[in-house]
Amino acid sequence: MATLSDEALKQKIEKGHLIETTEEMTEGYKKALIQILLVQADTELMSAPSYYMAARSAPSMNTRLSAYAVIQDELGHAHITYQLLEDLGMDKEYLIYGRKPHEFKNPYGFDQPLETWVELVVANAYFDRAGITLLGDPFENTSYGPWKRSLVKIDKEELFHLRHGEVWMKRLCEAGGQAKEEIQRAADWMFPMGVEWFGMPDHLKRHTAQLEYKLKGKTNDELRQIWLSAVVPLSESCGIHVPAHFDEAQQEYVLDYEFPVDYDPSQKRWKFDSPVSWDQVFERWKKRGPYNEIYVKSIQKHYKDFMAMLNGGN
Amino acid sequence: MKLQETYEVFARQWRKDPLQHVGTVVAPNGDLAAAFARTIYNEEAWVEMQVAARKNFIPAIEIREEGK
Ligand SMILES: [Fe+2]
Ligand SMILES: [Fe+2]
Repeated sequence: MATLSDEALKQKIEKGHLIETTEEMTEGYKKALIQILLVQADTELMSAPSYYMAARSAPSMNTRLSAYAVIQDELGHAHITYQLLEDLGMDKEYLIYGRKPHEFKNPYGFDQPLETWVELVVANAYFDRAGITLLGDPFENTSYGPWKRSLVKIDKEELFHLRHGEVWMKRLCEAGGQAKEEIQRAADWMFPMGVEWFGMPDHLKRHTAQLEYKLKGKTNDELRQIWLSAVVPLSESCGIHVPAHFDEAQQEYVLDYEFPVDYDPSQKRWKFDSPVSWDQVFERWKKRGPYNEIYVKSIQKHYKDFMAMLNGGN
Repeated sequence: MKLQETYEVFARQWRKDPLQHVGTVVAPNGDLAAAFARTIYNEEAWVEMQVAARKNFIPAIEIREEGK
């Protein structure tokens, strides 16, 4: 199969053609595909140690079991996605065990400590909702066949994580008192984290290779709206305040603060009165959050020793 | 040298169904590939699951354009 020009490939994709092998890709397509898959794989992988940190404070056998089931799913999702990368010529072992912590591409939210079981509940409700939103798009729209098919299982399991978060969030808020206060405290730092998850607004960055190659079908702002339209009503129905509301005139969700703003990870606090530029946000992301190294090392720690042992010590 | 082999995983949920491709695992041998497949692709109560080394696949028809 002769390799097409970038333009010819885009036209073909526009007509709904699914790409199946690397031979059909242009360099540009492959590069953009690797980039988007790496973000997904790293996000799936790093959700595991952060959920595990929170799961250790699960209050009962049942809640612990559900938390571990979520973690098992996430490791499975990571495995599947790194496998897709391996089929594109990347080295899976290197990607997981050879890279430095700051080279992982997971969002800033998974560089943060999840310190309580309540934070896990809110993470399942907010962060897994971000995951479903971001993966539901390629499931529907992507031009890469193997990725689309891999998302059948992943989407199904993400829905279970989301339900786990939503059900417990409602239950804890119904209990009121300290339970509801803890949910509110978690929402205070995790909601804006979710807003930021979707990246730069469209008026600053619209046309990307990922959209042109139809690796995904929706823009950052469209995805953010989908997320807000689920998370804001959920929070409100629980009596949890989040800084966003539905604007009747604009017929969309709007934030009640100037976006983006500064974040203090040591206090887990957004400084809503300190708006910053996107360059400053990228700077903060690049510096990484407080648990980036801890999480990556917890994954990599035993790999080398084990491989040496498996290969007879040489 | 690669000590690991890539295996394709096939499963079906009902006896009336054909086996379908559900994923891929990498393992040092077939037994471990089967064990990994059972735990990673546990999203359904399958009635059957098989793994096969990718290197043993023989393309009878290479991937080609649809409708040709
Ligand atoms: Fe996941
Ligand atoms: Fe998840």
